Amino acid sequence: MKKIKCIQKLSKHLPEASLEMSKKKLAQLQLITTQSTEFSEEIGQIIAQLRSVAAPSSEPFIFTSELQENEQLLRVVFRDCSDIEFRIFDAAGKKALLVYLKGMADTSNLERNVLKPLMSYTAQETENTASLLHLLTDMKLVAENVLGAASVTILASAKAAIDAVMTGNALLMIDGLAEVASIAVIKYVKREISAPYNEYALQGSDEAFNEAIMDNIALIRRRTRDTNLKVHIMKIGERTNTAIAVLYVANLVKPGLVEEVERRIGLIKKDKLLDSASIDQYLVDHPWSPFPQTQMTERPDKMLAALYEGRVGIIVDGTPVEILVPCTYNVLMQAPDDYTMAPIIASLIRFSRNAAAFLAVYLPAIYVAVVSYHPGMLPTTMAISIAELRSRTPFPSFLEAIMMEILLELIQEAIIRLPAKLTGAASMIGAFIIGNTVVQAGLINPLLVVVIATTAISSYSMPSYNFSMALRWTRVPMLILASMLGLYGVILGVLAITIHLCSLRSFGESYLGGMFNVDLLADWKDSVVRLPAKLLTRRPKEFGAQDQIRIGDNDGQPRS
Amino acid sequence: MMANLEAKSYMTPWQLAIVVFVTCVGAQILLSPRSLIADAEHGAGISVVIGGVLFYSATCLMLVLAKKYPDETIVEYAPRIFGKIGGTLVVIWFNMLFFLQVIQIFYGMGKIITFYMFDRTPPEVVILALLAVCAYCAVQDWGTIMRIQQFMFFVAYSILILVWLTSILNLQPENLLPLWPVNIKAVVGGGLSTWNMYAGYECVLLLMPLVYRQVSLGSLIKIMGASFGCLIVLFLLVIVIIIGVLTVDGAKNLLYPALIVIRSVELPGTFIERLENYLLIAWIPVVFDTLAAMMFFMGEICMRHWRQADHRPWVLFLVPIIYVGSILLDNQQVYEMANKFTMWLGLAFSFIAVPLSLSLSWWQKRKAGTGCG
Repeated sequence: MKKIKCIQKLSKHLPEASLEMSKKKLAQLQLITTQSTEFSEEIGQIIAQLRSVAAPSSEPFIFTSELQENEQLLRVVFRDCSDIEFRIFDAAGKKALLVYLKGMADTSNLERNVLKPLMSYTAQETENTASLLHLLTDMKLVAENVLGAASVTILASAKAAIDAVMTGNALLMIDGLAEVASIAVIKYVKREISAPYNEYALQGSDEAFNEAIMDNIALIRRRTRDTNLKVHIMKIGERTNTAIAVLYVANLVKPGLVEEVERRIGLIKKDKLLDSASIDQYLVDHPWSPFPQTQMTERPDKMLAALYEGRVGIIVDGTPVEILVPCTYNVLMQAPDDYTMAPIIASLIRFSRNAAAFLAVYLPAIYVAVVSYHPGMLPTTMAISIAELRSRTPFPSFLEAIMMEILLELIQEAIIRLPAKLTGAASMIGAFIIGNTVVQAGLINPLLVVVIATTAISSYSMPSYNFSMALRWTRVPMLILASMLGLYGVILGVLAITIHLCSLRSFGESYLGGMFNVDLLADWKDSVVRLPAKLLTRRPKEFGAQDQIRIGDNDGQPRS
Repeated sequence: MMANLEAKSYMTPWQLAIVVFVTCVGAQILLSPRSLIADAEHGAGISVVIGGVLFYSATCLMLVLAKKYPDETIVEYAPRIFGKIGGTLVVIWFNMLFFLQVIQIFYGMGKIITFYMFDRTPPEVVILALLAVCAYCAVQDWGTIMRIQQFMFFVAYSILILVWLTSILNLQPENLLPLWPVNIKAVVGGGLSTWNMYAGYECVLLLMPLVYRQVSLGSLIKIMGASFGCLIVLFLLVIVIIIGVLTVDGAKNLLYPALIVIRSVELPGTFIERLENYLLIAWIPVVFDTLAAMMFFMGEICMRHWRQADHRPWVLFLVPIIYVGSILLDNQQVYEMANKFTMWLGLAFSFIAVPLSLSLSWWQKRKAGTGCG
């Protein structure tokens, strides 16, 4: 007990060690800790505010000279993007970072031209290290003296840098520098240049566009050494940022046309642009019309020929079918083979193509009108024979024609959608059903089968698939008119379609009106007919090219 | 050199000539021959030539008048010449000419189509269908209409003339005798009555502002002469063949002699039968061309008179009025009465209103010059 009495409280001798005091001090410490945390948060907020004030509204952030901070910001942007590579390395004692998209960038190129030159100085401490350290104070000096890449762009904008990475470029950042270098090392898996699928020419080039915009531009450039051939690349699509190239020949194109094309492309407000067909719908004046108002082509030679007539080409990244504007009926009826065969044969083929376009739309309607309303127009023997054939089928001629149209459309659609190996079988079944079974079953009379088959073949002979689709579409209203008003209805339909086609305009050019415009009759030499090449000395007036003469003494300068 | 830009703000003199040609031809090649042959008999051909020269002169007067007021149509300068009320009356008169012609053409066309193609279909249905197509055309801008007219000029007219020329196979030259008319008065009267065939040339008073910068007045008069020359040849071809095939007595007893002429043609060994259907098929676009242009002119006159920017509401407003007007001509007598009335109205416009406008305009300009000292 006594012994216990010897033990005294420490606080008796050291009052500051008392429990109360400790508690008080601990409370003070807790308060300071809390305040520090709050202070730290406030500083963080102030820093964030300061940064957001500095960054323009269009930019996600701004680069600082702190590499770690830049890396952190980029990692936030590219979070959950496992295909983004962040490669940190040492360049003459300074930290450097390379950011690129795996699969889109050429890594061997990066190793050879970026990593090796920068890292070699670190590996061997030489006097050159000092000079490199001097170079590493400015990204421009690095690009000019160290990097071996063919194309390097210095960027200060974070948005541009992110876009560059997403396009396949590599981003080089060095500690202490607020600028970044975008190194063009794009390399990705793509389709090789192949023969065109839909515009085959018997004696023409076998090269067609592929899905890569730069390859497609190169296909055009390779065919001409003309510096007047200009290329403007724009980025459209809020999310996809798709590259669109506008091509034209500066001293030929109609003044205002390129500006109008670019204006319309610039007005496209869309999140994604995956193909040229979706752009086409934004470019045309009459999106509800079934007729194509832009010309689609997969042939670089065709695009170049069009550019030299004063037209404008639009190449869309990711699609092998490109756009030509303006587009008229005349250009849709021209095929590359027209220029590789004798003019007189080409003229005859063009005539038959125009006749085929007429038959593709009006033949079933004329059949229904004549058979239903005007059988007297037929020779007596033929009228009797048709009446006999029709007496075996239960349906009126209009219904028969509609049924055949539906059957034909179904077979065509099936052939397009089926895998290639099955299309042969589908074609045979289709041919068998149309040609034989429906007639034997007494559903359709054989003359109508001939009419519909002729119509189908006529529509297949169109050089433009989109135009042939439009002809298919117009057949149905024509059939309805013919069934209601006979030949009178057919003529009214012809007039309505003519009015529609004359009212359609593609970038100012009338779709059909130019064909019979007395001011443009000179264009017949390469529209209704095709004259020998040495007589085609002038460009079509229709497109308003600045220099009307193809070859002459004015050296390609616009004629006043 | 620029061609074929957005909206056409000009037209070339040859385009004007084509427009005048297609506007004039219209339905009258099938509708008018009977009354002309009945009036002038064997001299109907000479009446066509006299009429052509007469109305070409009227067109020249209109060109001179229009040239005095560049950048303006008659709708703008008539009130300046005749005063506000007088000018308005002239504009109404001018528009009425187109309106009366349009309803008569619709009526005649409806009759012919139902008579030869759809004997069980009411003419109203036929009229309504064509009216819809014409209205669709008339609501387009002038550039589009002009292109359509040129298209039809080359396509429809070539088919029409080709089909019509097959009737030469039945021509009996002795039916044309005597070549020189006995009744000179009837021939001159017939010349005046060909106004119905040539009517439509008044459109130059509306279209001149689009042309005058392209060419001098002299050249324009020459080019317009070519247009009237073609019109005279075409109408002569129609009249001479009708008389040559049917004789004068036969033709004046038939309502539509041209269709009987073509119906009588047989082309043995060919696929073609009932040629009148082929002729009608080619004739419908020709009629459409005239009607669409006249409906556009009516809308344009209203638009300019009420100083608006768009002719389309006026065209749509006029559609039911035209339909009712053409239905009101419910028999041949009323039609012929309206025809006569329109003819005199048209003749008075061409040979009274236009020369008077010219004289007043000269007088006003001279007065203004004197006033200036």
